[in-house]
Amino acid sequence: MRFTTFYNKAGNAWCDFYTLKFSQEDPNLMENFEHVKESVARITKILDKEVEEIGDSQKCFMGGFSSGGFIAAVTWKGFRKPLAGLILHSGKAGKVIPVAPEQEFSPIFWTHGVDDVLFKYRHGVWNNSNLNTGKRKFVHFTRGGLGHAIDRVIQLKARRFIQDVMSNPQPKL
Amino acid sequence: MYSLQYRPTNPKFDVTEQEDGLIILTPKSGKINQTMVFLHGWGQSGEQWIDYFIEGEATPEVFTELELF
Repeated sequence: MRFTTFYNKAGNAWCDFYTLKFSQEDPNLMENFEHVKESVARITKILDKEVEEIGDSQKCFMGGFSSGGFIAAVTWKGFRKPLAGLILHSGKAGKVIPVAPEQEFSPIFWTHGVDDVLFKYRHGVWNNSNLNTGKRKFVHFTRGGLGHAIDRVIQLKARRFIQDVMSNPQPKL
Repeated sequence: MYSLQYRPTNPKFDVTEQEDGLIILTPKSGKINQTMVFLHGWGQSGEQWIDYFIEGEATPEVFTELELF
């Protein structure tokens, strides 16, 4: 994990950010994409190991929060075995990045606070709504007063989503 | 750099941190039905997400602020 600065603070990050200003023309300009590729490659290896250990890719979820959600989504999009699902909190999936055919039916649970001031809700909608293809289970949760955060309600809903997915498996590819 | 001050107390899980920072929670008993790789957000570390996966028993007092410097 590398270090960068944001609001004059140092911290862990999966990639450097050039800006958090949203650009509808090219939203990927927000991140250093070489860093994104490095992080995705590393997480893909971890995911491969998890799949090997549990013996079924459709028992493995990919999840993350905020910029971790972005890296999680990009990893999920490119993973070449069908995953149990993507859990995306307050993050974007990178609209221009294609989804591998293996994830065609892979379910998604996406939460984003209506009152998120860091990564605005409308930006999340612009980035993520195309994932609701009608072919997969797609659950979105938001509410007023929720900012850039996960709270207890979301934790419980995520758990319920995971339980639902595991008791109603997606079609095997 | 950051210092990790998390001290896991939940009796249901073994918590191990690898040299690369990967934190693995493993239930001490029972069958593992599914698994998840979960990535933290900017400026955070995996410790802050452990209570996401542990229901009820990870109380706020076992988490202390990360010192960023």
